[in-house]
Amino acid sequence: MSNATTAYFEDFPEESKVIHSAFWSSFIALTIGGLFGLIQALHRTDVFRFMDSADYYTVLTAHGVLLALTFTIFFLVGLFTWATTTSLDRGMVDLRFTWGWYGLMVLGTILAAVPILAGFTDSIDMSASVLFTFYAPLEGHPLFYVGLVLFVVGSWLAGVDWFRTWWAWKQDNPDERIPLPTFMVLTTTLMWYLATLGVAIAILAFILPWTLGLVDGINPLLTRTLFWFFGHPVVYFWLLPAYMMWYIMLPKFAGGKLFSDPLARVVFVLFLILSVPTGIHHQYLDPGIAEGFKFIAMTNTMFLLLPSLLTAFTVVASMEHGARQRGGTGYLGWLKALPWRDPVFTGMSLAGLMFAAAGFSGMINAGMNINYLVHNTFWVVGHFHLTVGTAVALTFMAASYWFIPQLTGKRLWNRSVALIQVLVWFIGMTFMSNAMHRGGLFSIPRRTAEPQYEEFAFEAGVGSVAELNLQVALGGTLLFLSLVLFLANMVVTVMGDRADSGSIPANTYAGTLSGSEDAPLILDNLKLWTTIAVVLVVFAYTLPILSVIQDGGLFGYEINGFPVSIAPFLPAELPASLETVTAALPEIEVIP
Amino acid sequence: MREMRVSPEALLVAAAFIVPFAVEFRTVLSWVGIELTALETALLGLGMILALLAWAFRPADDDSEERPKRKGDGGRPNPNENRG
Repeated sequence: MSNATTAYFEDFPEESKVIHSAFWSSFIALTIGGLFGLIQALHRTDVFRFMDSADYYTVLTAHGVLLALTFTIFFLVGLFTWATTTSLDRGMVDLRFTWGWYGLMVLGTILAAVPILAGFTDSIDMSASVLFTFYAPLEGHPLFYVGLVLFVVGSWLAGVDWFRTWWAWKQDNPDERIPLPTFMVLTTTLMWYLATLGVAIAILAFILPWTLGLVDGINPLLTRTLFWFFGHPVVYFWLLPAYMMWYIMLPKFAGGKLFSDPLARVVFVLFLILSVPTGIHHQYLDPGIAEGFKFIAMTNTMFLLLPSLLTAFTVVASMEHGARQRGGTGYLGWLKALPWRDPVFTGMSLAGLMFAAAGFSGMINAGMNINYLVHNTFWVVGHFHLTVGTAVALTFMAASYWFIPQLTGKRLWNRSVALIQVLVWFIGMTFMSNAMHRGGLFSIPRRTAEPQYEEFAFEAGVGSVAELNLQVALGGTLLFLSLVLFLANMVVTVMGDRADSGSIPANTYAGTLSGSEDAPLILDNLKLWTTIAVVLVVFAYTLPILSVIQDGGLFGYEINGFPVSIAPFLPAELPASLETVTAALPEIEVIP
Repeated sequence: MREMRVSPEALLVAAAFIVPFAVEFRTVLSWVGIELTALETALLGLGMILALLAWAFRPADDDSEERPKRKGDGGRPNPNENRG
């Protein structure tokens, strides 16, 4: 429905309610996760510490899970539901089913969040401060894993819902090309199904039985490998909705059209094919996986630069087209003709710009040799705060300034505040991620509550570590301020009165300069691309996983997990656990 | 009030762009042996913002053909611009 004349809530009132609920679920997660982010930034830099450092890891877990999974995926399911219904111009097939998967995701979130947050108190006998990666032998309460499973199953059912709706549309329009937004939804969903198989097997076959005491042991390398089978493509699951916004909305707000529909389809096909067989690049320093397998993962990862560079070209070309339609001239003078006063446009553009920087640091992460320099350092934290923390989060926040009026029929409370909000995020992230990247180059570690050590000091190449710490704290504070401005704008908007009929912009997305008629038919052959994706995954993962199982066993060693509520469990559990781990390790000769 | 070369919003965005430039410029300068303190870097950034403001408020006399009109941030207004 790229030519609609009415707002979304007028055409799809029931779907609007689901999407609005999903967005608010996302915003709530963003609020809690963002607050925890500020606490971490102040704590680890030693600018302001008000909690015990043991609780830092509970905060870090909640921050990671609520932002990396809950915030992003709730927004995604809302966005994809909008994209499907808008581009197919039809409602969801069965709204009870739609509410069903949304409810399942909410239930999963609550079940996962309760044991995490219970880690703050000793009076509740559960905890799950296992971080976003939940590496064994860290052991969370089983409820945490059950919650994660339900949340992912909810997202699977959401995918079924989008496919059903598309299939119903296809019966009525057998000769039509898949509209671009729906094509993006379907390819992303297929990638998600493939990617989540890894984490589903890790939890259901190994971690959950182990935490429930059904099996005695676990193979940590196997579950880590299965986690990263999912853990890298999940970043594309966050990112592709942002890409969708850059492709189908940003050109519209720039005043122009999408440069090329076929190129956009190629990009999403490439992400479907290449996202999954890359996860081992997160394990370059893991012993037990042969270097050759890591090299294959690196090669696959580098191929992923192609769709990102295609996106940069297409989106910038579309923006330039829009700017020239608005009277912009010159090699760079057209930039002045872009609608910088529009917070939706400005937020998405700045997000895209910062993603370019993230691409460069990502290449360093992906390079097998140079990765050793930054592995598990603060650098990596700086990198993903540019990707998920800005490219994704800032795009979602900026898009919300357009979507919430579409869904509620209420005008945005304050556009100036919205513009200031996206700029403050941009500035705050500049300070924070710059300092994180630089700190990583000096080997400052990540996932550490107190990276300050006696008789050892990190040496900063430029300035000092104290300056970097202040920069992180300043950046974190600005980001939280930006978050408060965003939430205030959203809350006051939805509490306002409904606008007069016709005063909310029409629910449209960008037209195309080169449309779907120019795209080869084979691009819409989802079976073919899915088959190729599966084959690549089989090539990339079969031998490494067999090797890991051969070396460490399917259920690994008998390991008493480390329940991660520090007190009161530690005194009783630690010696026994350490003894088990020590016994499992080969003898190590310490050379003085 | 004299008309600016760009809208206040565009000026705000341009000023925001100076922040990453100043932050990264400090590192770049260190490669050629010029080490700035944090205060000097902040002053440099402030100077760049003041220069931007001076440019924005300077009367436009010789480049009026090139310069887009202020309305809609320069150029023709966008019918798709978000006014929600």
